[in-house]
Amino acid sequence: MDVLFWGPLVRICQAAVACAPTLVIGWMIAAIFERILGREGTFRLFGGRSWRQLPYAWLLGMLLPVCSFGVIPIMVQMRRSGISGGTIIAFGLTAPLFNPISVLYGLTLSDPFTLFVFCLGSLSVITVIGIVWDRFFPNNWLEPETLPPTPYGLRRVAAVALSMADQAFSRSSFFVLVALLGVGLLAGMLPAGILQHSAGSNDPTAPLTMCGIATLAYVTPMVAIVQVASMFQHGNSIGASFTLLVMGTGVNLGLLMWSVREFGLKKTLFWFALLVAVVLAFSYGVNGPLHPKGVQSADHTHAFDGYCNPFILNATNVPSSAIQTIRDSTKLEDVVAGVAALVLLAVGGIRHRFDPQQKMMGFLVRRAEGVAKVSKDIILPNSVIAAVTLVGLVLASIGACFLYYQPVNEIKKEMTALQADLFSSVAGREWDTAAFLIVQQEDWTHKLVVGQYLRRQSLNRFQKMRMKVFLSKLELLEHACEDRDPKEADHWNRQVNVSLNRFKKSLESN
Amino acid sequence: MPKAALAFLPLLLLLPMLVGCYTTPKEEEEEEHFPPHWPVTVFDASKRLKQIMDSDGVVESKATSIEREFVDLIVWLPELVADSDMTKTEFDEIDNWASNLASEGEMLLSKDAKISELLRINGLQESLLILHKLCDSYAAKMPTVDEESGVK
Repeated sequence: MDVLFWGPLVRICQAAVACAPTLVIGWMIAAIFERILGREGTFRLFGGRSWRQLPYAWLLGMLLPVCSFGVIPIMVQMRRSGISGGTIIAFGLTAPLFNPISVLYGLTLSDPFTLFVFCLGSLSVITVIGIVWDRFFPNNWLEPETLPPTPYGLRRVAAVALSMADQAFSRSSFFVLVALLGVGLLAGMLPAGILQHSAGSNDPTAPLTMCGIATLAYVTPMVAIVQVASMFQHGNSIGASFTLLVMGTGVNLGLLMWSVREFGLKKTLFWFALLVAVVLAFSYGVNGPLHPKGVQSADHTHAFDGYCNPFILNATNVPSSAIQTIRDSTKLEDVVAGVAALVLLAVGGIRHRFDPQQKMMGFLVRRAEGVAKVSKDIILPNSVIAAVTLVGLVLASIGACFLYYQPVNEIKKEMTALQADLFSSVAGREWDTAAFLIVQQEDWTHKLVVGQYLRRQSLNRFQKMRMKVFLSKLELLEHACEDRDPKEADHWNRQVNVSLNRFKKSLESN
Repeated sequence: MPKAALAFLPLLLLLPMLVGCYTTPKEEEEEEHFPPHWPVTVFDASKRLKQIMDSDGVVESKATSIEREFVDLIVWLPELVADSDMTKTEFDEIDNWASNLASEGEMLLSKDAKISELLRINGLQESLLILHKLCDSYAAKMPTVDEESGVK
């Protein structure tokens, strides 16, 4: 019983922590749409009623760093701006799939051509859905609300901040909660490790199975790209990885419920069924042609362990392990964003309780007569401010890559220190610590590749091969630790040490 | 929120109770990481390739066929070399000819070629001779290498 309670709870908490940065960004973009771009500006940004609305939705979705939770408040704003239902759904499904950071990361992990095909695939999927849906259900937009324009200056900044708090304490957060519940539900239904054999390259049901699972799962754009790349490296089903990318990253229970509320059950079922059909058709179409040549197909994968219950049925010390698991998977940036999210929620709650008439927002958006005449400030149009903010967001995320993916020498130092800890934890039979450190070591290895790529020093074939050897031995050590097998663990511990030294030595030749 | 949708929520919450109690059979968790004919080290690969060549392919194989094993061994050579102390120059040389031989071998395999045809691939004998010599020189420097790789 412990396992059925704590397992889903762990997955819900992990998803809640992981979504914090992209959720806060989602609130921020929604606030920019509402208070800076305004209803008409947002409507025009998405191409109005022209043919451009779907390509624009796809392009903006590719650029903005949000996840499938963070996209909900943005979709709410789009709906209020009178944008058509097909475009909103297209944006909602594409925005979480890719962003500049994840595409950059993906380029270093998998074949660029495949990533290109996946990007085009996502474009075709959303184009088909958008066009067909708008054709079957014409005039599916709301009349845009009228919003008073926000005056420039500090009051505009304050209005955006207050709007962010309002977004946080709005009905869209209820749908985020529902989506989190879906994550828990999935973990409750899937026992630990049950998906390890569900994405084999020869398994014709793999994309179908993935479709069923991924709908409830929560995958951040970065995790999705890492998982897709991992599936490529292990020779798993390519169709299943495309299904995971679109359904896992783009769809969740909260999004479906929001759609039911806005468009009704029939229309939601229509676009969902259409999505499943198009995604499966594309998945089965690319499954054979894109299968990587020369890759030994693995009969299993750990890519989906994160969607299952983290504990086996007869696990002991479940509550303490649950707390430890959550603690281990929490990163500093997620904590910072989580605190920001909680502050916004609290401010939004206080505003909702004590200012139901929106007097404070009314004060902020009230045009102060005469201010423009005496001020020497250059008054920038709202469209310029919005463009600078949105482009700035994209540029900041690219800039953050250079901080996150450090130079190779720094990463080598980290890996050496981590290896020492890993070696002693395996020798000391501290299995849980070792399992945690192995994941960290894998993460640093991927960061090293991206760091090199960002600095235009991509790895040569010798280095890539040594890295592959190191990662495969690390995986074998992981299995030995999972099995609590001291003899195997000691053997692979030594092997990992030797292969890391060889990998580091190969990097010196750069 | 439609009331009908809300009514399904408790049912959804009960679902884990119904299906989450299933456990994965232990045997399903057993994982095969290596094909049975995986050679563990480049030295083992070199020995096995020599054995196949010396016997004209008349040896037992753990793979589906001796032809499959022969081509696989050549395909795996770059990875096995990277898993040794061989230098980048040595890796590049082996990687270069192994890639060419592997693609020719795969092409012949797709035409159901026999081992005798595979052993006649242009440049194979000379390339493998280089590998054997290289492995012998490294093995002489590291006599314990086979012992190290004993456990798979």
